[in-house]
Amino acid sequence: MASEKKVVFLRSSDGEAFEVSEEVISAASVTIKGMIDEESPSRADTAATTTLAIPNVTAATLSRVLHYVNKHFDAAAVVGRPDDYIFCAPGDEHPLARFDDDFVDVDNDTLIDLVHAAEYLHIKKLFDLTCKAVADKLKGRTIDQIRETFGIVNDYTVEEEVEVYRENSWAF
Amino acid sequence: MADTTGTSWSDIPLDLAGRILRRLPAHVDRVRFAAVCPQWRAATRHGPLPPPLPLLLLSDSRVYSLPGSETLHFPGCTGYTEACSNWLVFSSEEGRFLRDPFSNATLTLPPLSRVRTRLVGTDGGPVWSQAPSTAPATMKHVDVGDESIDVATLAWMEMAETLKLEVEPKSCKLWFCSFNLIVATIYFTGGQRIAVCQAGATSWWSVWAENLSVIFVDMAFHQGKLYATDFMVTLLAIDVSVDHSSGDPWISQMRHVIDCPCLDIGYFLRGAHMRAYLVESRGVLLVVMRKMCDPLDNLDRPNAARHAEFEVFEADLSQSQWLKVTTIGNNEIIFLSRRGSRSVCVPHNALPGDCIFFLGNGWDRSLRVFPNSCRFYSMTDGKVSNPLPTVSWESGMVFGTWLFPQS
Repeated sequence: MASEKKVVFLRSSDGEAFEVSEEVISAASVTIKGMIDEESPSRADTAATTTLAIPNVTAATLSRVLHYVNKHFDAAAVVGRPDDYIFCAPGDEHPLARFDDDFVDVDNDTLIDLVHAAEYLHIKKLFDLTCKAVADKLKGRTIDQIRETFGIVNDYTVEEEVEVYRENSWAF
Repeated sequence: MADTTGTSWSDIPLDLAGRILRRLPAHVDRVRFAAVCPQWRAATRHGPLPPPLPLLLLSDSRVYSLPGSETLHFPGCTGYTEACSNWLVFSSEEGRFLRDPFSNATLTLPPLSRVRTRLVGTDGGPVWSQAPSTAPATMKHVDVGDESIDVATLAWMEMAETLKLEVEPKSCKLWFCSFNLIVATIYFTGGQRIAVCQAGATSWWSVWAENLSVIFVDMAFHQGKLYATDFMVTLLAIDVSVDHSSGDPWISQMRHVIDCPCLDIGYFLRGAHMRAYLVESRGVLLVVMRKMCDPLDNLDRPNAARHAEFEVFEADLSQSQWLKVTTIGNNEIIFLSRRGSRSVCVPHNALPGDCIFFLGNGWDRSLRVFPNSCRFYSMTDGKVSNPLPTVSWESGMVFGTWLFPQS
């Protein structure tokens, strides 16, 4: 029953609290599952909800992460029920493929925050998705295009740059 | 790190960069990644990465870094006459030399006029051994296995060693190159002989046995040992020993290991051609049989699929038999090469797995009757596709070779 579902609150680095089903977030995040397991003996007999501090993730990022988590890990969600996978023939698009594509179609600052959050919270699927999104932004790009895309200043010394060029001039 | 906002991309942690690099199967993407900034360069050297996909080098020095079709150019690649693993073979007035296009390292081969040949006796069968008696005086005793060499044979060999070979070697074909071991077959007027040397040596070491003529079709290393097939797809194990004082490799034994796999003989009777490729894949030794029909058939024709059929057999060394296999692995791709075929694991769907990439019929190149090409054959559905449809092969005037970056 929905009313009996346990929830936890996650407090972002900038102090905003987000409610999420304990079951869902435990399935998604190894880090938070660990935090909940640590807390559980002290709250076994109490109805008080737990609030967990997530000091490494801002509210903006955390809200995005929870949006992803609810889509991918909530068995009760309309789209992406685990059962749906049974009806996917090989070659069919993953039912959440479009959601995933839209999810990582963000600016680079947002993307790197998501990568870091996924890594810190240990959400493997999200980490793989975001790493893939970064890789896709690198594929087939020239060095200058990559620097421009990611706002990286070329801080090679002249000598180093000559060496890098000499090693792989064919790729430049 | 209380707040990740504002984290610079140049400062991404090494292990995270490694995760991203794993998602870049194209060698050119990894090289460019490393060139972006010193931090990213450090990341590419941080930990082991799965091997990148090979580059396709065309003889006019165009290079394609799979799976991309961007045209790149390797400097100093024009004029190579053949390729052997990652080494390109060039001929100059001083002789033949090899160059690794990635590192620009060069290796000079001993001249073909300097082949020291050990003559050995044989019972006439294809199983034969090299006796240690003809080895240099410093050679340690080498186990010649079960082959017994009688005193008369030894005497004959000692006598034969003093004979000067009168035939001059005509040409050679390189099979394997590293600094410690170069394996070649050298063509004499009397036939083909296997020869070995180390980089920088002044002469080859070859062996010759009376009444024995093995025509090598392909060679491969498997679990550190050299194997070869002949034109009947017999598998031979070639034991290479090393002289401890000079470091010179020499062939101590050659053994018949597995007979020809069961093939559709009718196929040959219908005039088909066949080529066998040896390749180590996922820890096993495979022979990939490529059947080719009429050389005038064009692979670009819609019904071309049935003209490029492949059969794959796994060497069961314990039972001395070939076992037919129907898959090479979902993430595995075999890149066929006339010498030095390789199997590469390709995760993350960068290219379709369970496939065999092959290059157009270079052996008909001299006829120049139809285009060279690059295609892949799917073990799953038997279809043949073109991975680089935009690449021009100039009506067969260029030929291709795979280069496998060390990474």
